Amino acid sequence: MPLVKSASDGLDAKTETLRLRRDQLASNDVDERRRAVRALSGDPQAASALAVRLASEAHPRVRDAIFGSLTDIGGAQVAELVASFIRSDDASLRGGAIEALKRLQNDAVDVLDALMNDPDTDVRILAIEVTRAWPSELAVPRLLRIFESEPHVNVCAAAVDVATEVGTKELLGGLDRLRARFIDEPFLGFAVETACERISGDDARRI
Amino acid sequence: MNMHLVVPAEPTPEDTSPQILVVDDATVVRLYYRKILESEGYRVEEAINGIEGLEKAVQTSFDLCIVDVNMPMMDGYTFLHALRREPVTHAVPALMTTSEACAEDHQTALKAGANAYLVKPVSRDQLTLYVAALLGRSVA
Amino acid sequence: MSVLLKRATPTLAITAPEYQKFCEYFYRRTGISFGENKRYFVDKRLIDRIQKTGASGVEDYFEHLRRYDANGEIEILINLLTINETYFYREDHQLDCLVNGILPELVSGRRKGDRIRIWSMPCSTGEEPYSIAIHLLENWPKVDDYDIEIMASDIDTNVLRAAESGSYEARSLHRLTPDLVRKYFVPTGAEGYKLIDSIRQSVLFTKVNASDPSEMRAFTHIDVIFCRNMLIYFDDRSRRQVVESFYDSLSQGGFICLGHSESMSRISSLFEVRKFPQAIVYQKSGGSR
Repeated sequence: MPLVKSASDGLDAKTETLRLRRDQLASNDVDERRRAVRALSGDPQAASALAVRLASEAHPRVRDAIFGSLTDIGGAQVAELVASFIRSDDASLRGGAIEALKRLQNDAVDVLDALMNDPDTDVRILAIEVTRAWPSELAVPRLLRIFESEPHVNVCAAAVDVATEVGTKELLGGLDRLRARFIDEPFLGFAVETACERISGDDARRI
Repeated sequence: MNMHLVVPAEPTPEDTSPQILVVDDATVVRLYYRKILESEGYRVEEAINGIEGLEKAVQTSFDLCIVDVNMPMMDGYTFLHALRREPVTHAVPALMTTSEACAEDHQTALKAGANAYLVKPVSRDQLTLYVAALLGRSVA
Repeated sequence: MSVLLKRATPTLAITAPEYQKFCEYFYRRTGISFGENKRYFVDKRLIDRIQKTGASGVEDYFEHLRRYDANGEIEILINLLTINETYFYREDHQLDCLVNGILPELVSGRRKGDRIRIWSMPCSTGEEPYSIAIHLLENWPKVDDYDIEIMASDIDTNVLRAAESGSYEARSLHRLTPDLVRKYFVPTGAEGYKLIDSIRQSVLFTKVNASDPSEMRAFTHIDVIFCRNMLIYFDDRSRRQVVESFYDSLSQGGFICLGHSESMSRISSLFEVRKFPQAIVYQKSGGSR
């Protein structure tokens, strides 16, 4: 039965290619590594291998390519893999993860919700930055939650900064309450005032 | 508080007030520092990450840089390293800001080339005192 | 008798906070700042886009603009808000930088007769690559010591054809001294000039789509790239991809020059910022493998 035979041939060829490409991920040659990464970009099965490679990849060009291929694959699993790099000690890996999470849009919502509750304030701050790339209907409820209950002033400030760009009028009450929560923090008061002005768009002075 | 559109003052030929570069990716932080520093008579320019900060710093003779640690594209430490390497900016005083107070961070900041270090949120008093002190030192 | 109004929507006005919000967003995205003195200029174009996109108002338009999926709006806006014109010796401080900073550094490790590859991309109607050629002949003492290749590429075959013909109107030459015009151009008719053959033939023109990595891969071992006022019109993703292609095209230690209102700060950290007295350029440092 030619159809079945050729199908299994196709599968074998595909697995063979994947294995070959994964080997090439560890090549000593930067260009070979990068080409292998790009070649795996359409392949959901390669996501884990790409993430593993990212953890030990030092060359910026290959790192960029890995983030690119991962976001091309997309999906919630990729979002989880990418999100783990938010905790990296390496600033460029953290930055690459943030940009990739922004590109993943809806696929990253669940993992971002978890990160916004992470015990580490830096992780929470970075997670909030991702919402800058979200449509208002996704970002606003998260920002509101932060205004209502986030304990750390700098995390709140990060959320207010995003709100100056992304915020809608639904946030105005939450912003007021945030200011009241941190009445002794003049910077936060200033940030809230700025966000309210941008959101309301009114020329009139706000009292 | 009244919020006017803050427009960078056009430098006049006689304008010799100190020029400060604020490098921070948060808009509200840059606005806040600008408001305070301009009320103290300083001139302010902004950058959103270390690359832009470096580009501005090598083109304009700043009297002080205020730089945050966490920024995309190029973080504060890398910016400072580059600032110290570059002949034209080698000696510019730098005040580093960070979100968390951590002894390690303090040392890293000083090693990277910062002259001083503040933990956010930075109060008006802290900012004005540190800036005055760092500018005073540079004059000497 | 009722008159059918062409536009039933009320006259749009941009408030001060709306203007600030837009400027802050635009600055974050592009690195370009607008002050209060640009109110009229910016407002007019914003209102134009609000109407053309059918947005219900400023807030609605801003949300549309912000959308992360590439909808082309920010690029249209950038086009409207920036002025892009080409002429000979445009931003010639970069040409000075080429002669006085970049080339001396590049040739320090080279022998006489070695090749130097310079790429103007995009080249538009040719003013830029021809300016490079003229400026090198006029200002670089070592111009005859090396085998200089000037390549010029664009996606648009019409401008390429115009570039190859080497014919220009007087306004393209406004930054050239009369001596230079006399030396390198022949007058044609009332307002026209044609570049002399030796300059025309010194540039190799090719059609290239910068967003196509396979087309870009044909360019290797480039020493200097002039990519001025192209990247600013691309969306974030494409811009990054193009810059990565440029990175691959450059030799180790090669340089890239962007337009005066452009910066790698919004694109990529692949390059090292290099400050020369005449200009800021970017360098592909000799990285480790």
